[in-house]
Amino acid sequence: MTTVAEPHGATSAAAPDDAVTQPRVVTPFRRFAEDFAESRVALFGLMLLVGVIIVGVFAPWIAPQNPYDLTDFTERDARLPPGSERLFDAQIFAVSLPGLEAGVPVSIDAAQTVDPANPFVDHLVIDAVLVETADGNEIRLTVETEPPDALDGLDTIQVENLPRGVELTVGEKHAFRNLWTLTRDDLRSFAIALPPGYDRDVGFRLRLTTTATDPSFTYWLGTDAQGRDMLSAMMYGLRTSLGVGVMSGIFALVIGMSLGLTAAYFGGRVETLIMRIVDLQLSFPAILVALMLLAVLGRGVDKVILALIIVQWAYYARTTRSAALVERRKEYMEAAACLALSRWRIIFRHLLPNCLPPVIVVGTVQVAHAIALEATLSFLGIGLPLTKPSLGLLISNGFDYLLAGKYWISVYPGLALLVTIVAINLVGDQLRDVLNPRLQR
Amino acid sequence: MTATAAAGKPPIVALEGVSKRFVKRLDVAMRVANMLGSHLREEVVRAVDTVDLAVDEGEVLGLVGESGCGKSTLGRIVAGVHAASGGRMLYRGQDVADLHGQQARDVQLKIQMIFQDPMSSLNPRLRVGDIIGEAPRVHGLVGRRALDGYVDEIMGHVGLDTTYKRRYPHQFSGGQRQRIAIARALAVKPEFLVCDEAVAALDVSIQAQVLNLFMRLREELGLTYLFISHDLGVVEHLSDRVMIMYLGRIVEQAPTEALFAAPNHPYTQALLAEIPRLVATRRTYTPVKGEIPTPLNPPPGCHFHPRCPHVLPRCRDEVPRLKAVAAGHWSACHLNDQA
Ligand SMILES: Nc1ncnc2c1ncn2[C@@H]1O[C@H](COP(=O)(O)OP(=O)(O)OP(=O)(O)O)[C@@H](O)[C@H]1O
Ligand code: SF4
Ligand SMILES: [Mg+2]
Repeated sequence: MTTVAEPHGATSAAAPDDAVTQPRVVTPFRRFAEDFAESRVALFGLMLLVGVIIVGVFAPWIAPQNPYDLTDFTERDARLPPGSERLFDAQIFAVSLPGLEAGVPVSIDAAQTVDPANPFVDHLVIDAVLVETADGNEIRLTVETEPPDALDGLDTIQVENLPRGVELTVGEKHAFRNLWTLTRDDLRSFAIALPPGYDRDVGFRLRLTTTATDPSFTYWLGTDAQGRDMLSAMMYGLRTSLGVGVMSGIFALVIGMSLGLTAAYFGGRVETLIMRIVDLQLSFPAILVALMLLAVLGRGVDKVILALIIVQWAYYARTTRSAALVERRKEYMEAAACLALSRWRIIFRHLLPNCLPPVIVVGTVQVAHAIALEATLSFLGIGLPLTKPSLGLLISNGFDYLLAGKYWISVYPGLALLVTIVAINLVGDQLRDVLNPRLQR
Repeated sequence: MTATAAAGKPPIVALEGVSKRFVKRLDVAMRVANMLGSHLREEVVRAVDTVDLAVDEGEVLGLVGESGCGKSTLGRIVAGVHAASGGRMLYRGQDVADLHGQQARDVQLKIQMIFQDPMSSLNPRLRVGDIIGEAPRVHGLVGRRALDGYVDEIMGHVGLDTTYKRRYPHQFSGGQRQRIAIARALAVKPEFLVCDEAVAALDVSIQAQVLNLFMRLREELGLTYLFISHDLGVVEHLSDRVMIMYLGRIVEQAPTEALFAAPNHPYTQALLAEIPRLVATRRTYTPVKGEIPTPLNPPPGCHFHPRCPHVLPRCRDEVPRLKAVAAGHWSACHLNDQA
């Protein structure tokens, strides 16, 4: 650049005449983005939506727990209110007492079958001795723990998997299961009564559970009836709901747009046929059609998506067709015909992009619809399988506990669903305003 | 035949008895209504009714007529946008219906159309460079690497700044948009341009610029024009020959000077009478007295008879044919048989 004396001192680094030589290219997208940003509510909706999508997409990496992994949660944690800490896992010790001889004491170090993340009993040392009595033999046991006071924090002590016929002399037997519950004092010294003539080895499992909670893991939104962390379940549920909504939306859009464009471009019988099917489809309530389809197809993610595609494509087809009918009459279509461009090129490069705006608007609304519909179907118990809970299924699961005051199982997934749908609709509304040619400034 | 072809060389474009009917079919509800005793009929619009015309190479043929008389439809048939429902169209003596594949495409490219509204005739989602460069690239008229230079050259030719190539149509003024549309047409090296009210949507000052551009291109590229316009002043100024159209039919056709000096057909006379002859600037005709009959249900005989001041009894049922009244001057009126 040549040095020109600037009237107000050399301040501007960017020369204004750059703007002349390099005209700012206002792409349609940029114009669109600027228009969109004019509404604060819509921006808020967009932020919400982006947040919701991030949570859904990255759920496996950010959720505190994997709600699909049945070993990751226990029923002991079921229905804990929001903010509860997780109870420590039970510790299970396998005790086997092979080849005991009468009067010869044995000392064994019991092995843990599962190693929980937070052990509260490091070691369990059991001294056993076989004693012969009048009505059958008896094994007397004394139990010591490391650390010595570990037993003080225990909640329940259970003995399970005793061989058939073998009984404990203390504790309470479960009504029908092979399970004894002992008190802390019972455990320090108890006896196993062997039936007369019993000559096999004796073994059992000792299950120790504690009331102590793990301060490193809090159920911020409580737990559900299976002891799942609600927050994690909701993140995964959101992922499923969004996935189902978006997948069905994309497929329905592709199918519906192709048929709508075909109808508008070719007209005649093709158009009549397609549009009659669309009319027929749209004359039934979506939920009814989906219900009937799923009743036939059965449960499953793929089946729900299929059902949603079937109930949704017609909306896209109708919208695309009406947009395409308007665009088809515009003179740029005639100009394209004059230029001997191929039919496919005219349809996909000239007609289709100009039909997109209304289809995008319908698309956002339809995805919200699909999510709500899927939630409804799952709530009714014919949508997604129990192993892959979506938000709708979570709401349904918690519904039984709502009246018992355990609101969090149903209400939080409900709120998540609400936020998702509101966010999508806020964005969709603004899209409609921005893309509406009648409101174009 | 009304062909004015110079001996030997066929006209660049000729129409022989070309008609275009638009049929609005009955839908299901209407057919049901008919079964129940109502008498709904298919609506047939004869937008163009057995038109003959011939345009010689390098000529500018003006086409004038009231709104709805079928001018645009005729232009679209010539430009290959609409297929005629009857008659033949010849390009340099060859029936275009007989052409297929590559040949049909080449002839299609030779005839381009410029539309009235430059906003709707440009695809709003393409950049100007793509609008102009698409067809030549797709048809292989220029190589991929030469395309940029080719587009620049054409933009320069129509007076567009080449730095605007990456802009979108909405960022231009009406006149510039029309230049883009012209550049798009020129990019496929046409020989014939159909200009359908190509300047009607522009400001008067811009109109003159675009008209001058048309005339400059005519000289530089040897283009032939079918120039459709409402504006008799423009047509008089530009055209070598003028055709007057009324309800789908050509009623008079003559060299420009002859037509304006001695209009033969009562409709033409009425049109010209409406022009305030003293003001030479913008002579848009105002409608002739009486209502324009609808092309859905045109009057029998001479279409013009309900409004004609000289109407004869035979005009009501006998269609007048185009007959020569002077050299190159043709008119379709029964009055000419009286003498
Ligand atoms: N695609 C179509 N379908 C049905 N009818 C049509 C179609 N195009 C034109 N017409 C009818 O054909 C007749 C002639 O229309 P056309 O557009 O050719 O007239 P025009 O002379 O160009 O009028 P204007 O000066 O208003 O542009 C009109 O009655 C119009 O309604
Ligand atoms: S034919 Fe008859 S009605 Fe038609 S213009 Fe001539 S005189 Fe008038
Ligand atoms: Mg027209």
